[in-house]
Order: sequence, then C-alpha cells, then structure tokens
Amino acid sequence: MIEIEDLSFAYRTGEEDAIPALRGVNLRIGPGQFVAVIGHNGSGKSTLVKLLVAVLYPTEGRIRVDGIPVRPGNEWEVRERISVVFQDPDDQLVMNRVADDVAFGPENLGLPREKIAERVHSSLEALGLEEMGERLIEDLSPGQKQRVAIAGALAMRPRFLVLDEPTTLLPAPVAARLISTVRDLNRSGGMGVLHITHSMSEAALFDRVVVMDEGKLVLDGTPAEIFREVDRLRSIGLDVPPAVSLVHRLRARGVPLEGDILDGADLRRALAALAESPAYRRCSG
Amino acid sequence: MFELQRNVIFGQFVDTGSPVHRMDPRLKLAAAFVLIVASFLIDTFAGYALVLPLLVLIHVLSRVPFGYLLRGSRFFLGFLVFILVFQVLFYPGEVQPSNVLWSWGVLSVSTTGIRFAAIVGLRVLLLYYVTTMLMLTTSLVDLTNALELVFRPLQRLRVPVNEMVLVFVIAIKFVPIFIEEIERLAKAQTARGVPFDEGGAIKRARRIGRLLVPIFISGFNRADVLTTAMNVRSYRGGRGRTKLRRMHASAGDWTALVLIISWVLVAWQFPASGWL
Repeated sequence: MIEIEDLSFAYRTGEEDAIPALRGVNLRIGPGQFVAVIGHNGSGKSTLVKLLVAVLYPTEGRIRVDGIPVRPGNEWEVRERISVVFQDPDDQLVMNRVADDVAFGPENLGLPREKIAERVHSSLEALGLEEMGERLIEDLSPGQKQRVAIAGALAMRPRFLVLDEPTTLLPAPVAARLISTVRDLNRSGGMGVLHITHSMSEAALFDRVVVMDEGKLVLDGTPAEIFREVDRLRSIGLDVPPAVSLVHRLRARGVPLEGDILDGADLRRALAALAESPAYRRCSG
Repeated sequence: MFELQRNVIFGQFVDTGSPVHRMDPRLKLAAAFVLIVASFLIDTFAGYALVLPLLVLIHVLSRVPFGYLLRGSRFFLGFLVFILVFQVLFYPGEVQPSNVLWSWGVLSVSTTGIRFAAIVGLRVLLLYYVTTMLMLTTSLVDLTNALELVFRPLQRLRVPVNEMVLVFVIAIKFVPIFIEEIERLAKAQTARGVPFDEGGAIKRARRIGRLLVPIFISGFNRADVLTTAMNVRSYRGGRGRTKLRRMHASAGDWTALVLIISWVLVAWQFPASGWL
C-alpha cells in the first residue's frame, strides 16, 4: 500500500525562488494495483517518483510505503519495497553483461550467491530474456535493454514497480509488448505497478488512471471515467486517443453509442451494435 | 568525425569467448601487470623482437580481429608517430658527431636519437597493446572483481577501494555511450550547416569545442539518473555486497601466467647476456 497525504514538494525550499513541484497531492495505491500516472512535462510526475523512493523527501505532508514513512533514515527499507525503471536504459544499467546487471541489485542486498542466481534466472525468464544472460547489453535493441532494466528491478522482488516513462524511446509496437509483459507480471506476481507516461493510448491499458497537472492531482478513475472528461483533459494540454475523440464528437451530434469506448476495437463493436439496433433500422428505412 | 565509434577502441569489450576472455581475471590482471613491467625493463630491439611472438600468440588465441584493433588505434598511432618525430628532432642526449645525419639550428637527426625514439615507441606500443587487450577481453564485472581484489590491501588504509573501482568501471562503460552522443551532436550540427571537415586545425578545434558544452550537460544528467538508479537498486557502497560470479583459476590459467613471466624474463635478460 502506498499512502500519500497532503504531499507538497518544492525544489530549493527556503529560498526566494523556490519552485513548487507538487501541491497537496492525496493518493492511495493498494497492493497489486495497475495504475497509470499521466501528465505533460512539468506536471510533477517525475518528482513524485523521486519522492516515492526517498531520493527526495516531502516538504509537507507524508508518504508511507507499506506503513513505512518516507523520511531520512528509512530510505533503504523503502527502496526494498519499490523499484524504479527510468526512461533511458543506457543511464541506469551498470554492468555490460545482462546477467551481471540484473544481479547488481541483489548483490547490493548482500544475498548469498545461490539466491542471487535464482533471482537473476527467474527475472530474466519473466521478461523473456532467459537466453540472453551472457549477452552484452550494448548489442541489444532498445526494447531488449529496457527489458533488462525491468528484470533488474524485478530481481529486487519489490511490492511496487514504478516505470518512469520507460516507453518514450521505444517504437509503439515494442512499447505495447513491454506493457503487456508488465501486465502479466502484475497479474501473476501481485506486484503493484505505477506507470508514468504522457501517452493517453498507453494509459488506456491500465485499470486506473491518475491525471496530474502543475503539481496537482486533477483526475483519478478508470480509463473510461477519465476519457469522459475530454474537454477537461484538453484544457490541461492532454489529448485522448483518436477513437475516444471520435466517439466524443459522434455523441455530441446525437449518435447513441453505447458503453465504454477506449480504443478502435471498442468503437467497431459499438458501431456494429448500433447498426443492429431498432432505432438505426428505423432511420435507414 | 562521423566514424568515431570505429576509430576509438578505448573501453570497448569484444566478446569472442576465447581462452583469453575466459582466463581468471585475477591472473589475467597479473599477467598484464607483468607485461607492463616488461615494457619498462626491456630496452633492446632483440628483447622486443623476443616479446613479439608472445603477443602474436596471445592475439591469435584471443580471436580479436587484428584489423579492428588497428583501425581503433589509428588516432593513437598517429599521435605516437607525431611525438616520436619530435623526440628525434629534439633528442637531448650526447651525440657523437659521426652519428649526426642532418642538423639545422636546434633540430637534428642522429642515429642515436632515432634508436632512442624507436625504443620509446616500442615501450609505449607494448604498454598500449597490453592495456587495450586487457580491456577488449575482460568484461566489466570480471575487471571489477579483479581490481577489487588487487587493491584490497589499501582498504586497511581506509581507501574506499570498492567504490573507486566501481567509479572506474562506470567511466569505462560510459565511453561508448558518450562517443555515440558526440557523433549524434556532430551530425545534428552538420545538418544545420556547421562544416566539421573544413578549415584549418584551429577552426576545427573550435568547432569541436562547441560540442563540449552539450556533452557536459548530458553527462551530468546521465550521472544524476545513474546515481538515482543505483540508489534505488539499494547500492550503498561496497560494504556487505555479495557477488554472483565466482572466480575460478584453472591449471591452464596458472600455466599461462608462468609462461608469460618466464618469456618476459628471457626477453629482458637474454639479449643483455651477450648471446645476441
């Protein structure tokens, strides 16, 4: 459980030009939840990540991770429960062989050799990299590198996995496969996932979407609930996926599309259902 | 400018899985150390001629393509030749008049100077070859583990050995990443009309200077992310860390080390003993 209460954070506190990054954020994320946090640059989402892993500490309010408050002195306990994967794998991978890098975290925990080997093996397997343990990271594709980074985070056996825009540098199909792998990990391992992104199409794949703007939490709900607020989202500079935008316009013109429509497949289904409906038959005569 | 990646070999690792790669990193480091000492001790052409077959043997065993090494050493070799020409022209030692081939003011070319420069060149080449091959054939983890072991005695003097070794290893890891970034920046600037391949040496150097600022900025950003990432992965210094890899020195590794030591001893002493 991640509990965030009245959290505020400012860079350069105490100085005149203090820069507020988060203002009064309240958020609870239960164990095993699959959540996307969305917002454009400067909305405070990356600051939130740093606060969650005790790289920064709250200026006001508090964060608790499984009951452990995030404050100086507790950082290592907090970091054993939350792992983070960052945007550019080149910046976060420490060693040059896949297995060696995945082992870096467990090695830091001082685990015995057999335990480390077991964790490396199971993490690589979970990401579909079991054949790549002895490969050099520089020879891998960006998507594979990011998988190595996730395997490294997984080897820490965290309660929550935080993904800080890990798909920004990846082509769309690769990004989609990565997210579906993370979904599998979430389902099978019960590990909570917090995916930071600025892509609405990606956010639609999650159970819950949290929208941030200028350091505040502005919307929180299922993707369907969030996408109903098309105008609100546009006013803070975010856009909905094309299918959702089209549905919004169709409904505004009185086309009675039923149900929650999040992507093209949903839209096709809704249109097919409409074509079958008595109302449509009457219209087309 | 756009071929940097092929022309800079420092910090690269070429994984061929050869016996040289598989050699126990502690013994490999010891062997490299022996050869580095040799580069200081040996001061005859005959000595270097004797070392050469050993290097050829190591190279063949390592299966590192020689063309790759040569291409990657172009900058270094060019620089070395440049330095050695100066070494000859400004040779400071005593020269017998009969050995002077050409002189003009303070500049002179003498057989003594050429001989001296050639030996210096061979020393540097051996030193360069050994360190480069050590990097090319040793993965970062192996290098880390071996260096930590070698410098462990310093820990008693409260030198943070593990941390320093990790800093060194990470620096090596980032070399290819930065080279890639310099290339990207140079291409981006060329696309906007900066002519990297034109003009005199000073103009060119100034243009390269323009790459430095963005490189530094991105370097600090990367360092910041890496620090956070390492902290998040519970890195809190070398204390209490355990290791996945077990080091194992085989009989073959020991034989190789003994062979290298004796070979070097012969190359050092044999020419001086007057047999040649």
